[in-house]
This record gives sequence, C-alpha cells and structure tokens, in this order.
Amino acid sequence: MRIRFVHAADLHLDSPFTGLRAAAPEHVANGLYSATFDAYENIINLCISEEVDALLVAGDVYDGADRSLRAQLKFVEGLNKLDTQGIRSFVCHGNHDPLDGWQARLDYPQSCRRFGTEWEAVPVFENPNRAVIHGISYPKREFTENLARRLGRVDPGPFSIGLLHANVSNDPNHAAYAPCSLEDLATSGIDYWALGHVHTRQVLSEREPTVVYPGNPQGRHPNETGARGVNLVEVDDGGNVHSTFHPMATVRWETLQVDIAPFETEQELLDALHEGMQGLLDSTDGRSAVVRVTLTGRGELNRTLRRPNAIDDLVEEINGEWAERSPFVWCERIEDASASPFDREARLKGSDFVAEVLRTADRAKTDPELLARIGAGLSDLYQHHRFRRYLSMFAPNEEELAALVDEAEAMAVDLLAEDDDR
Amino acid sequence: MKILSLHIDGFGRFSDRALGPFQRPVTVFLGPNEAGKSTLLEFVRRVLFGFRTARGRTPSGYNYYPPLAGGRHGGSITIFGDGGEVVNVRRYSGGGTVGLTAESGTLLPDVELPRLLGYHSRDVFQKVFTFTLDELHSEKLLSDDSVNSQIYSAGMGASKLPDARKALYNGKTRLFLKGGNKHAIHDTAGAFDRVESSLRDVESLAAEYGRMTDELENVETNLQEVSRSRHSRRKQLDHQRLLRNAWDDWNGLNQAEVQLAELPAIDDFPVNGVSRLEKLEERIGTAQKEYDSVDEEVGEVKARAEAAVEQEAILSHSSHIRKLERGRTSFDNSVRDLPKRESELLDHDKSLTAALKDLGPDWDEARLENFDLSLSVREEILRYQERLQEASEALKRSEAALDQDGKALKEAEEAENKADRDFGTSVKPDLDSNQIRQQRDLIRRANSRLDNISRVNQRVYDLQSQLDSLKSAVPPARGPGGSRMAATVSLVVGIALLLAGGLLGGPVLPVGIIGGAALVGIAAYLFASGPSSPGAAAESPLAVPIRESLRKAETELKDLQSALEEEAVPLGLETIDELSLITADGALDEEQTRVYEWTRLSDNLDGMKRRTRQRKSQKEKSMEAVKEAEAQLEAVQREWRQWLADRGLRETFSPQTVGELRGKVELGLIQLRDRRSLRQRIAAIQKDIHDYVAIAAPLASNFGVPFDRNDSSTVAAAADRLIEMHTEVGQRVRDRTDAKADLRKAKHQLKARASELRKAREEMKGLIQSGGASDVEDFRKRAETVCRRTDLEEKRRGALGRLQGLSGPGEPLKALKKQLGGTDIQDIRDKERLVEEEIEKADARISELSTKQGSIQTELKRLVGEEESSTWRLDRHRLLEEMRGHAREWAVRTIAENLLKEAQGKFEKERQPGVVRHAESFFNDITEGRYQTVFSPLGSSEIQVTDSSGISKQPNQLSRGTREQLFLSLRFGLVRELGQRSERIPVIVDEALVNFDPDRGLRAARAFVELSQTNQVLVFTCHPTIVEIFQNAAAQSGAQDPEVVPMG
Repeated sequence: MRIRFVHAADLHLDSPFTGLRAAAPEHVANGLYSATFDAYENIINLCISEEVDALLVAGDVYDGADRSLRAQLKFVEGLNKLDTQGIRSFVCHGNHDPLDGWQARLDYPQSCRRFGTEWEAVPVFENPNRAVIHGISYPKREFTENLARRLGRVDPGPFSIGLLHANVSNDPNHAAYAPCSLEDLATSGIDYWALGHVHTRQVLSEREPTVVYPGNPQGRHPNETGARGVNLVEVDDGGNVHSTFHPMATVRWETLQVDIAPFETEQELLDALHEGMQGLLDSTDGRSAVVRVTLTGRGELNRTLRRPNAIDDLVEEINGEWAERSPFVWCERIEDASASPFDREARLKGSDFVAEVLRTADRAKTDPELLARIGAGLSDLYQHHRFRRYLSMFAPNEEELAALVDEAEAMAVDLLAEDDDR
Repeated sequence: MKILSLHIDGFGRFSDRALGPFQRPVTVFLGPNEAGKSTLLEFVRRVLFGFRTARGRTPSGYNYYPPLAGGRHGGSITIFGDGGEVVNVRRYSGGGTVGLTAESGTLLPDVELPRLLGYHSRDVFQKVFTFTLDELHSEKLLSDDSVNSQIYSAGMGASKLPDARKALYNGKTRLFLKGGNKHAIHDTAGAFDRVESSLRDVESLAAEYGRMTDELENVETNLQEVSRSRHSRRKQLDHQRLLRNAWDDWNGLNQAEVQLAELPAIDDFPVNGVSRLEKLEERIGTAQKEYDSVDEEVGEVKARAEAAVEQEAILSHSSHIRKLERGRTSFDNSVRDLPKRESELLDHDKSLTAALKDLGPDWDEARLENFDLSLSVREEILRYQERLQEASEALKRSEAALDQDGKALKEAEEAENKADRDFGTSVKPDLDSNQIRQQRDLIRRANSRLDNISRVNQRVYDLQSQLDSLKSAVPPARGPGGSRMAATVSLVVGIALLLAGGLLGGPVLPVGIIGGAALVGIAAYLFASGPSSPGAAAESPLAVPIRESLRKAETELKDLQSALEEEAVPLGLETIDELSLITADGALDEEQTRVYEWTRLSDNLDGMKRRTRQRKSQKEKSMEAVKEAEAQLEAVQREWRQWLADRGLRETFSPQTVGELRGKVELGLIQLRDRRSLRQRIAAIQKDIHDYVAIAAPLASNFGVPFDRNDSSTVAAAADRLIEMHTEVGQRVRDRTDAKADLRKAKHQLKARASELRKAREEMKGLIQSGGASDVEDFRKRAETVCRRTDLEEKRRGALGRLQGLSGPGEPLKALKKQLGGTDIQDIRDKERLVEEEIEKADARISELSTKQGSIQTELKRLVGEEESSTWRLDRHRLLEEMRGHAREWAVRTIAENLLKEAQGKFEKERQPGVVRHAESFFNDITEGRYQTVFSPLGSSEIQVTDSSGISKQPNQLSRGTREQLFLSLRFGLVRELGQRSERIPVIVDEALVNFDPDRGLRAARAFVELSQTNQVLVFTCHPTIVEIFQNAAAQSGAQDPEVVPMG
C-alpha cells in the first residue's frame, strides 16, 4: 500500500452553533459546547484505530473570528496524541484561520507539518518516492488568488496529494476564496485533492484526479443537517484510491416538516411530532440531534397554534419527552409556517374589507411605490442608532420584503377573521 | 338573483314544507307570532351559506333549529340567477357539502354558488341583505366602537379592524418602540452587549497566554542557574563544617599526647585496687559493729531467763478454771432467769383454777384430762346440729306455704263473688249469633235484588226511549222546531263572519274569526240537543222486537219486586228499600255487640268458680305438710336428749352449747400442761447455780479471792478473778521458757561475728602488699597515677578515631591533619558563616522563582481550561438570532399595520362615498327631507347626519325609529352599491318597519318597493297593517302588487 490517511477539513474547533434562538437545557448545551471538540477527538481516535499514516486537515481548523486558545491547544493536543502513535499530521490554513491571524505560541509535534504561504512538497515517508503532500495556507483571510494554478505541474513519480482550502467551480453558496476550476486541479498532476471550505460532503471527481470535499465533521447550523465526518483514504500500490466516509459528529442537525392539514386536535399533531422525533432518533445512529420543526399546510389547527404560547407549549412538550434522553433529541424551535383554511382566491373576488386587504397585498408586489409605503418605518428599527449594528445586516431587501408582506397579510387576515364557517 | 321557491325537508318546526313560487318583486309573509318566520329566514341563510357544525366554533346561544317535526335537517332553495339560469341549491347539516342542480337536472360544480351569491360572504349576506328588527336597531350596534365600523363590519369583514390594529400595535411595541427602552429588542441587545464584553475579556486572555509562556521560560532558566550555584556552595559549607567538627578532636589528641609523656609508668598494679581497698575497709567496719551488738543482746536475754513467777500453783487447777470459764455466761443467765420463771408459775396456777371454775363446780384436773375430745364426738355433735336445723326449717317452710294458700283462697272467693254480681246484673240479648248471621244473609240478598230491579228498570226505560224515537215521523212539536231555526240562523251568520274575516282581513279579521266560530258552535249545539217526542211515532216494523223485549223486561221487574216483598217478612220490614236495609243492618250490629258482652261475663263467672275450687284443695295439702314436719322435728330432739344423758351432760344443752363446752375443756387442758413444763424448767436452773458455786468455792479459798456462796454477784466476781489470774500466770511462765532458748542462740552468733572480723583484716593486709605499697595512704597515691594514664590514653584513641571517621583512613586522614594543622578555629568559623549566607541568598531566590513559576503555571492552566467563552459565543449567536427573530416579527407587524392602513384608505375612498351617497338618498326620502345629508368623514370611523337646519348629529343623538331608518338607509346604500358590481341578491327583512310612524313606514316601504326593482324583497311580518303599507306603497309607486303568503 502506498499510503492510508484521513482527510478532514473545516473543523471550526470551538466555534459556536448558530441559528439557535432558544437557550438549550444544561446537558444539551454542554453537548453543543463540546461538539466540535468531540468530533475532533473522534477523528483522532479513528486515525489511531485505523492505524493510518497521516491525518490531513484542509483548513479552517478554528475560526479567526472566534479565536479560542482552548481550540488551538486542543488541536495541538490531538496532534501530539497522533505523534505518540507514530502518525504524522499535515495542516493547511484557510480563510478562517489564515497565517496572519492570531495564534497562540504552541509546540506542534515534530511529525506535524503546517504549510506556509507558498506551495511546499513534503514526503510522508522516509522514502520520498512513496507519497508526497503538496500544501499551501492562506496568508490572510480574504484571499482570492487561484492557488491551484500557482502550483503548476508536480513530479509524477510519487503518489501526490494536494492539500488546499478553496472554492472549486465558484460554488455560489460559499465565499469565493482561492477560486479555481476543476480543470485547474486536473492539470496539476496531483492524484488526490484533499480540499476544504465547502461544508457539505462532495466528491467532485472520482479519479484522475480524485477531488473531494469531506465537509465539516460537525454541523453547526440548522442548514448543516445529516451525517458529517471525514474521508478515510487508502491508496494501493497501483495508485488506486479507495475512500470511505466516516461520520464523526456527536450531535446531528435535523429538520422535520409536518403538514397540519390532517390533524384536528393538538394531540393528533403532538402524536405526529413524537413519531417524527422517534424517526429521527432511529436514523441518527445513536447520536444526539438538534431538530428544527416546521409546521406547514392549511388547517383548522392553525388557529389553535396561533394562540399565545401554543407553539412554546408544543416545544416544551416535545423536549420534555425527548431532550432529557441520552442520546437526546432537542427541538430547537418550531416554526409555524402553517395557515388557516382560507380560500384566498375566493376571498379575493369578494367585496369586503378582507378582499381589499388581499388586493392591496397583491398590488404591493407589482407596485414598488406601494411596497415602499407598506415597508415604510422598518428603518426605524433596522437603522436605529442603538440596534443597527446588530440588525442592519438583516434589513429586508425587496425580495424579502415581499415575503414579509405575505406573512403580514396572513396575520392581518387572521386578525380580521370573524367567527363564521369559512 | 331571486329566490323562486323553498323546500324545507326538516328545519325547526317545519317538515316537508314547500313555499313558492314567488313571482313578484316584493313578497310579504304574513303569519302570527311563532308561525316560523324567523326559522324561515334562518333556513335561507343556512342553505345558501352553510350550517355550522357542532364541532366548529359557534357563538353562544346559537340555535341549531333541529328538525323537531321530522325530516332530514336542511332542504333546498330554487333560485333564478341574473343570467336567467334556474338552479336548485340543496344543503343539509352534518358537514355535507352543498349540491347544485340546473333546471335540466345536470349537477353543477359547487363553485357556482359563490358566483350566484355575488361572492358575498355569509357576514355580508346576514348583516346587509337579511336582517331582523333586533339586528336593525340593536343597542349593541350603537354602543360598539364606532357605528361606521359596525356598518362596514355588518357586511365588509372589518368588524375586527380596530381590534386588529390594536393587537398589531401592542405586539409591535412589545418588541420595539422607538424612543422606548422597555421592549424585547432592547433587552436582548443588552444581553448581547454583556456577552460581547465578556468575550472581549476572553480574547485578551490569548495574548496573556503568550506573555506568560515567555515569562515562564525566563523564570525556569533563572531557577536552574541559581540551583546550580547553590549546589556548589553547599559542598563548600559541608567541608567547612567538617573542619569545624574535627577541630575539638584535633586539639584533644595533641593535649593527651603531651600529658602522657609527663606521667611515670607503674606496672602490675592490682586491677581496681582503690575500689577493692575501699570495699575491704567498709567490710571491717561492718563486722566490728555487728559483734558489739550481739554481745549486748546476750546480757539482756540471760536476765530474762532466770526471773521467778508468783501463784504459779494455780496452773495445777487448770481443768476447774476452764469449767468456771465455760459456765460463766450460763451462770449469769440462770441467776437472772430464775425469779422470772417462778413468777410465771404463779400466773399459771391462777389461770388453771379460773378455767376449772368456768367449767363448773364438779370439774377438777382429773375430769379435765379424762374428757373425750376426739374428732368422732365432734362430728356427732355437728350432725345433730344440722339435723335439728333442717327439721326446724322444714316446719317453717310448710307453715309459710299454708299461710300463702290461705290468702290465695280468700282472693279467689272475693273475685268469684264479684263475677257473680256482674253476671247477675247483665241483660240477656234477644238473638243469638246464629240468628244474627241468618238475618245478615237476608239483607245481602235483598240488596242484590234491589240492584237487579234497578238494572231492569233502566232497560225498560231504554226500550221505551227506542220506541219513542221510532215514532218521529210525526211532525215535530213547536219547541224543538224553534231550536232548529235558531241553529240554522247561527250557522249562516257564523259562516258569513268567518268569510268576512278571511276576505277583509285587517281589523275585521279577529272579530270575524271569533264571532263566526262562536255562532257556528251554537248552531251545532242546537242541532244536537233537540229532544225527541215519544208516542207520536207511527208503528214501524223495527218496533215489534223492541216492544217484545220491553214486555219481557217488565215481567222480570215484577217477579223481582214480589220476591223482594217475600224476603222482607223475616227481616220484620214492611217495605224493602236501600234505607230500610241499611237501618236493619245497623240494628243487627248493635245486637251482635250485646251478644259478645253477655257471653264474655258468663265465661268470666265460670272461670272464677274453677279457681276457688283449686285454691281450697291446695290449702288442705299444705296443712298436712305442716303436721308431718312437726313430727319429724320431735324425733330428732328426742335422740339428742338421749345423747346428752349418755355423757352426763344436762338435757337442756343444745349442740351449740356442747360445742362451746368442748372448747373450754380444750383450753383448760392446755393450761394444765404448760404449768407442768414450767415447774420442770425452774428445777433445772436451780441445779446449774448450785454446781457452779461448788467448783468456785475451794479455788477462791486457796488463792485468797473473796467469796460468798449466797451472794451470786461475789460468786461471779470471784470466778472472774480466778480466770484472770490463771491466764496471767500461764503467760509469765511461757515468757521465761522462751528467754532460755534465745540465750543459747545469741551465744552462738557472737562466736561467728568474731571470726568474720578477723578474716577481713587479713585480706586488707594482702592487698596493700600486692600494690607494692607500704600502707593504705601509699596504696592510694599509686592507684591515682595509674588511673590518670589510662584516661589520657583513652582520650587520644577516641580523638584519632573520630578524625578518621570524618576524613576516612589513610591519606585523607593525613590530609585532614595537615589542613587542621595549617589553620585555626576562628578562620574555619568565618569561612563557614560566609558560605551559609550565600546559600541563604540562593534559597530565597529559588523560593521566589518557584512561587513565580507556580503562579504562572496556575494562570496558564486557568487560561487553557477556560471554557466559559464557548458558552458566551453560543449565547452571542443565540441572542443575535433572537434579536433577528424579534425584528422580523416586528417588521411583519409593521407591514401588517401599513397594509391595513393602505387597504382601509382605499376602501373608504372607493367604497364608502357610494354607500353613503345611496344611504343619504334613501334617508332623505324616508324622513321626507328632515335629514338631508349622511356622511362619514374620511379617516374617521363615524357616521354623521345633518338635519334640514344644518345641525350635525351622531346616530346616538337620534330617536330610536330615526336611528333604525338611518341604518336601514345605510343597508340600502350598501345593497345598491354592492349590486353594481356583482349579482343582485334578495333582501330579506323580518319586522323592520314596526317602529316607524305611518308616514315614514309608508316611505320606507316605498324605498323597499323601489329597491325591489333591482333586488328581490322578501318581508316577514305578523302585522296585517304592514301588508297594507306595502300594498299602498306599491300602488303609489305604480309597481306590481306585493304577493302575500299567509303562514301559520
């Protein structure tokens, strides 16, 4: 065998979970604080149990914005553990942990290689012809040069691995740092591109070269759902790459959508939610989960749900049952996107005030002036001298404003609703 | 759209009821209260707009109008659309959907219905197009937030608008209020800032960590250097301390060697010479002292051994002296006891004499001892006692029974006399029980006979009536003819009144109906009650069998009556009727009571006689029993007297007396025996005293002790003196014997002491010679020299050994000696102090550096272990998310507020003026120009009216009728306005005009008639005048007459 290594990226050690609105109960919060560390520890243990030759980390070990001494110390601690087992480590830095960022004075083990701001080729073994790792780190956070192209053509002798934090093919969901194309990667002569930056696992190219984003080992956001982990890669003597994904996250992020239409009572809905929770727990492979529930559809239950504290009560009910378990399923919030059983088209043709409200909302979407009038006053909050520093970035643009108008319309119609059979 | 017809399957009081078709623009449903008008109005609303389900939310007091008279809950309405289509709309409760069928029979999709209903909501239909009097004038309507809002809400879906705006505003300001600081976003931002501040503090920790690691490195380097330096100083210090420790020994070694050289050498001096010499001197001293002491003791013992003893001869009477000693206490007791016993003896003599005297003059000690006190005799006495007592008691019992029987007999005789008197005075009844029973049967039979007579009588009467009716062909008599005439007149007038009421209606209606009904009733009665006239009927074939039956019945009646007369005889009655039978029955009841009383008294007398006889016989038996008991007692007494004679006892003694005598004899015997034993004891005491005196007397005489044998106290004193003397002489003789033995032992010891002293003196001489000395003094001097030399040699050896211990043997020892030889103690001490000071300084430095190292390490550990920042970072994101959520909700509420504002502005601008304009026109017409304008100021939620003098008024300033006219006008305005853009749907009103004066009522009806040109009008009323008003209004407007549908 040429080489056996673990390819990890975007550890974001000690960076917090985002998007949470509720304060988690203590044991859940503890699980969340330590989740990135726990995932890292799982990676270290995987390296040791699988007796790999090296651990490759493709950038964003921790967040510069949340520079944590603890994160850096823990990272080195893990590498030291590998060193004592004779496992080497190779690290490049990305936009979140560029080389110009603050770093604690730490003693990295001898067997660890951290790449600088120029491409370097480092043999993994004493025999330089077995495998070579080419790596480069970001000198600063916002680095938009095409680093892949800067590498040029590598020595075709040994099995070559490229360790790089980059946005390949301009993924619009991620910042365009070190952008490059698949073509740039293919022409470099690298056999395995160990990439980082994109948090969702992707295999951009199966072979010649193999190009992989392993994703982050621990989801930190409601959008980062499902299993998260690293790639265990084996390269046989013939240079063939065999890679397997290994989930590492201790806490999973999940979403659950429930259509309220079939339910007449809260209990029926609650039963469905319990069923959903059990389903999630069954699918997490013994791991805990943080769940965001979205209620959809139209139904009578919507009126009940809009009662004050109704949603909070549901959350409490669910968490009372599931959050205390081990592994836990903690419902972080229930978003009520359901609507009352309301035939908008029919009401729009009516002559009453509700019809006028609906028509006004419709007009607002095509009449910028009306939309501006309806959105007037929002700047009171979003540009408020005290709160703009938190909120200005969330100020709704025109498209978001239209979405808000829909919500506002639903709210207004509901408030106007009289006691009749619709 | 128009409603053509209704079919109610089941709804409220209606079941399978069809109404219609309604062809004219205005249809008036006229019916009394509770005819179902409101039910019909609700039926229309529900079939067109749906039933509320029991499960859904319903307002309180909601009436479901269940199908009380049967049928399926619901029905259908046939409507005629503006487009000319005829559609049947069916709807039933229970969640079923609406069904639409075209005239051709094809089913239409549900969505057609909203179109046909002009897309109006149920609210619009209910509040604008269909309304009751209550809904029209409701005070609630006026007391609501604003009339305008209520009017719009009545049809415009904006009744909740003020609440909605309020809710939006409240929700919004809870989240954020410009210029305020008590809202959620402010709170969250505050919490966020606090977390940020904590995080900034944590960020500075990282730089601190770098600085600390540098400092730690410096401290550790310094610590190593200082430790090394201290180590070498420590070695120096150890060497100086070694020299200092060796110095004393070095000095001692030198001194010992010098002193040894100065002392002479003495060989072969005895080992431990001085101590041996001293021991011998001590031994000689001790031996001399012991010799002297023993010599003195020999002299003393010799004197004792040779001393003489007085009265030594008493020892030869030791056996008598011991007897005196042993009997000494007993002698005292005897002397003391003797007079007491003699006194006791005297008492005993007296008691015995008294006991004998008590028994009788013929009693002495011999008879006492011979009296038979055996148990058998005692039992015999007891037996006689029991037998006598039993016989005596039996006699008493018999006598008591006899007494009791005598009293009972007397009572019975008195009771018999009383019963005899009672019976003698009672009256004997005329009849006995049997005769009474027979008479009762006769009365029962007569009663039954009377019932039969009555029944047959009725039959005769009925048959007679039938015959009379058959004779009716004959012209009626004058009386009944008048009745028939009156009936016919009543009937004709009644029917005429009913018709008049029905046709004319209005105020005539109640009079017509009530009067007509009454007259028709009278006619019916008169027809029915005309009497028939008997005997006037011609013989009809039908009369034959009736007449036959009549004859049979009459015969039966006669038979019955004659039977009854026969039965009257035994009862003693002349005629029999119900009253006479009841009287006869009462008389029988009284006779029966008399029979019962006579029988009771007779039975009582018999019983009493029986009892007297029984009591007499009982008394005779008791007398015999008494005699028998007396004989028995006499026999036992005889036997007893014989027993007493046999024992020489008086015959008069009873067994108890003999028992008591026997007790006295026992007592006398005991006293006799006690006196005998006391006499024996006194003799024994006297003998003891005599014997003791006999021993003591000769001894007292021999040894000169005073003695008087008649004086017991001198006897006792002499005995005591002799005993004491014997003891003293014995002791002195024993002491002399012991002294002789001691003298022998002392002499032997004196000899041994002299030998020991001699031996010690010889050993001393030998020792002095062995030490080469001439005498003891010389010996001591030589010994001191030897001792001094030995000490010095020991000292030299010790010092040398210790020095070697410090340096080690061989060369190091030599080097040490050399070093010590080349220095002095002061120099050594100075150097040691100097090095010690240097070490102390190094120690202080090490301690300082270690402390610093420790605190840096602790701080680093703290920095490394810091975990709170993780919490804070999570909190920061959470709070930001919370703030974002609040902001979004606030934005939605703000937009909703703006949206409502925009819609309201447009709504009021486009819709309201038209509504108000139409309303104004109607209101002006109805009030005949009294109120000329109706308006709603823009942006306000008020309606105002202006009267002809230009004064503006709020609706609540108007009278009730005028206010209702205003709301009616507003509804007309809305109907007209809404009709311009959609299907024109019917207007249905329930008693809307009742509060209007006739003029305004007529004008309002004209407005309805005018409205009916575009919208079908259905009016429900219970007032015929309303019908009239609508008819007049139609006539005045030249419109088609309203169709009137009677109900009830």
